[in-house]
Amino acid sequence: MSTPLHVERRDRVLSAMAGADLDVLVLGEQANVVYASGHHRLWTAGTRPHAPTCIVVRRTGATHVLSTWDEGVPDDVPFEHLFGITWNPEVMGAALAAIPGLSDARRLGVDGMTAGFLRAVERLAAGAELVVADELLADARRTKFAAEVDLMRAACGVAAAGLDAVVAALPTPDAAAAAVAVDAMARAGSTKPVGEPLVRTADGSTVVDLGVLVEGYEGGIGRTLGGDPEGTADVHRQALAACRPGTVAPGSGSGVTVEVRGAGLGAERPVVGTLEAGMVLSVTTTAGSHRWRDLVLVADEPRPLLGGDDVDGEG
Amino acid sequence: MDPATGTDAHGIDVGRLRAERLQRLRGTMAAQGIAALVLTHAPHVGYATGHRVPASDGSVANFQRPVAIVRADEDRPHLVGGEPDGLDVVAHPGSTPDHDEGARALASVLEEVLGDLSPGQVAVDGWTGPMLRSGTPPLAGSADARPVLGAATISKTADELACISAAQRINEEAMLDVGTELAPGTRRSDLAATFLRRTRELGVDTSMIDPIFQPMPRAISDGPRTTTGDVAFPTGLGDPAYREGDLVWVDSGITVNGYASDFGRTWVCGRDPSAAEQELFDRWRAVIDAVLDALRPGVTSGDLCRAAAAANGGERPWLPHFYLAHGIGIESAEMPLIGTDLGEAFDDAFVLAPGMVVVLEPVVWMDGVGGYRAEEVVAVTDDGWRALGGEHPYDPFVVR
Repeated sequence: MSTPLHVERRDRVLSAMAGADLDVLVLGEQANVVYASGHHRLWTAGTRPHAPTCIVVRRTGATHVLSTWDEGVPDDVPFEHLFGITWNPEVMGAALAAIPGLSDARRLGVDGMTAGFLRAVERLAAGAELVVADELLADARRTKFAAEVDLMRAACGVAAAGLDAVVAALPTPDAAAAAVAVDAMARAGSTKPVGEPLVRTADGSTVVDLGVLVEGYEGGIGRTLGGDPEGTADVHRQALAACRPGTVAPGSGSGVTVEVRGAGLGAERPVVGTLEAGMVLSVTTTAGSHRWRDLVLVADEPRPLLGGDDVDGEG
Repeated sequence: MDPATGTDAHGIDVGRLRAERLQRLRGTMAAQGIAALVLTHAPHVGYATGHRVPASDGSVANFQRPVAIVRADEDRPHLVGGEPDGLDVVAHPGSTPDHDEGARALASVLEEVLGDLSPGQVAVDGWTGPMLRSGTPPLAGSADARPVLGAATISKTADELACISAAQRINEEAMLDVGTELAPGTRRSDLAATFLRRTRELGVDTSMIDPIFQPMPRAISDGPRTTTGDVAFPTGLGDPAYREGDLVWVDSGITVNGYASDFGRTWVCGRDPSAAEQELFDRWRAVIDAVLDALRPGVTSGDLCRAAAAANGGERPWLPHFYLAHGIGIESAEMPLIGTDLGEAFDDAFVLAPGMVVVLEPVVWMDGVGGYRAEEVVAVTDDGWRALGGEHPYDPFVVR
């Protein structure tokens, strides 16, 4: 039996902690929490104030997660490693103090902070050196395991179902088309948007850009419906084909903008430096009011996650 | 925007909403001895500047967020990055503080705007990793912005109440259609699809939580296991298909101008409630009536908790990891928090005042039968309370 994805990810985090000489990680960013713990909770929109949501202890190899129930928590996280939702900083402090390895941590990594959490850390791990660890997590997340790519491919399929529904509904006002898209994507497998669904009609063509999460992983598609007089789809196809290891991310050309960012547990950072095999990129090619977007797996033969070569206007 | 009245599609005077809010915020800063705020949490930025908060995943919201800087001695807030068009702000070019480049740009704006202040005069609501790396604002010595935001937002202006009411009514209207679809064999995704489509058709594109249509267990021992030994809700997991007789707990929230609604009901799949299930509702209604009878300015949270328990045979009728009631506004749950694990002394010390919003969400549970849960959104007035929703029906339960 293959190693479960959450174990692969946790092992990579533990290994990164060893490399950075971190004793404990206290994570609050949702994507980092999912990556390190495998814990899925109710999706909510927008930024979240930083709060200790997942604690990883290198010495024990254990993850401790903020959850009042065991549903959504991987089976290999013992029930005793859950700490429940609380409104009371003293209750939270006591729950954290009970985590073996926290109070005697020498180096404690965080991916964000608040003044309130700083006070808690100063009390709970008085001797610990605080280390900013958002980059450590970003590095760990950058190249994808096969199971991650599978989930992203599934999410792309859901987004494509939304696009198909828009194609079938046109002509219709943009807002109505967006409503059709979210309905179709919900029935196809996701009610969790990455960004706002874009449907924008101008100059006789309609740009559609949709993105959803499946088990936390991003999928997306952007297409321009109704003609491509400038041949921008060709530029987009070339940009996707250029996503090979050891090269820099494809850049913009005359009149055409190519934007590249990482994709994984939601949107990741813009790509700096050379590409690595196993990265998944969201590549957006824009010319005037036209736009194409695909997720592509970086490989010697780069593979758009939707497969095939179907980036033409009519989907 | 209607140029004749200055109101938006929901009838809200957005200019007045923003101006009164900023005035409250600056007044609270002065009262708390805070000279400046640095705000990174999107609802806080929206509160201070009017910057729109879209319903994006956190990963995108982080990368799109601007930063607000508010000085108590300046009329206009500063916005670093974001989309300042149409906002009465001092706009600074910049990008998200979730990149090192954005954090460096922010640091230089902070030096320019707040350079004359000491760290203890500046309150911050949160640091991203890149902000911690840039060292500006400094983590050590900066004040906590959350008490300022908490105090400023706890009592709502008339326009804020109008936003919450508009959100609540649209949320309820969308749910009228969703409720008719619940039947044996339908799935959670079917109901969520209709809800998300209907809210958009009604002009709202900000569903702020993944809408919940959770079939509930009949007994706590049916699981999931919880740290409190009580019922697990809302888990927000999976795509269950409903069976006849399922008790489905419904919860959703959308926003209008950044102000949240909170819809809660219990539905029964495919049949009328049994006599025992109807009794759960009757008791829930009695709890609501008892709390609303007690609700007026000057009453404490503790008084409301005791009224609720008295109407439920002495037992606290709410989930122990949550509350009897919570406030709502720029967050889907904010102060006042009533009946939480902050404890009875906290509840007894908290006095309700006009303009506060109270979302009552008692749960009546009878192990083996199941539970009834719904939510009532009301605002405290000068002499009592008024409902902010549109008196949404409790179908299929009967109000007796």
